[in-house]
Amino acid sequence: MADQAQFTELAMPYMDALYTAAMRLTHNAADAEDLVQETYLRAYRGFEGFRDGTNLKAWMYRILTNTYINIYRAKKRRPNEVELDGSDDFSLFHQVGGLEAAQAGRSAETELLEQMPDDMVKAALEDLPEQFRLPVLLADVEGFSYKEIAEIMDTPVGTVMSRLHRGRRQLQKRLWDYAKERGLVPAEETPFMEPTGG
Amino acid sequence: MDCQEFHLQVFTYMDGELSVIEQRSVTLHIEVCPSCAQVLAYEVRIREVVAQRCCESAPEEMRDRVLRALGLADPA
Repeated sequence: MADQAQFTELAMPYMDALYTAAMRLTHNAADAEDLVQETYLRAYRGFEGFRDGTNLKAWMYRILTNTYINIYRAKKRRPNEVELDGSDDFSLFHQVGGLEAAQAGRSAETELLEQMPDDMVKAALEDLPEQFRLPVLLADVEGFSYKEIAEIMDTPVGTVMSRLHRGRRQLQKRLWDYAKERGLVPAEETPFMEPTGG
Repeated sequence: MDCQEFHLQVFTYMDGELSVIEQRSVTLHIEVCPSCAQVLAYEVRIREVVAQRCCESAPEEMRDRVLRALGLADPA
């Protein structure tokens, strides 16, 4: 059984990570700060139920996720399940590769990535419907395994896998759309290059 | 493995969540297919960029605020 006196020492180092997730979920600093505070409060109260030797960071994320769902999503009455458009195969590499072939540019795809400002990448991630945004955030920003994400989200591992795949493809589609809007790539459509068979 | 299968498995490969046999099959494909090797390198870079750009630091006063809420703040 965990000791409440140890709580701050063990849990405080996760504050930046939890705040990152809170920002991507709530979209604004005031709500993110409230969400993080509420997460720590609930975690502290429930800390005696936390089993030593299990993953504290994942446990804290689970509390944050549940708190967000119970409080913030209910407040905003956001639809629980939103479907994605058919971008499940979208590849930024092949999209920009088409551009590169057309312009004979050098390393256009790497250049594009380096040019993407923070706010654009954050916006692209925040655009994803929640059930896709959360696994992408947990895997790609926080480095959780499928099993940990499944536990945090209370979802089967297979669902995590498929949402991750679709969420990441959709994220690349959003990055491409923003890049066009902001003039980082020419606005006209370039042909989508399918991966070649082989 | 062909390029189409690689395209479907590249994320799971990067996540280290394929079975040993599948993992090996992807590795073998990359060794003989420069274009998929390029795709993999680019996917890795995208992920790094997303992770870097999406990180936040909690505001300075956040820690004190939480400690106060927990009733653990040092008396001023």
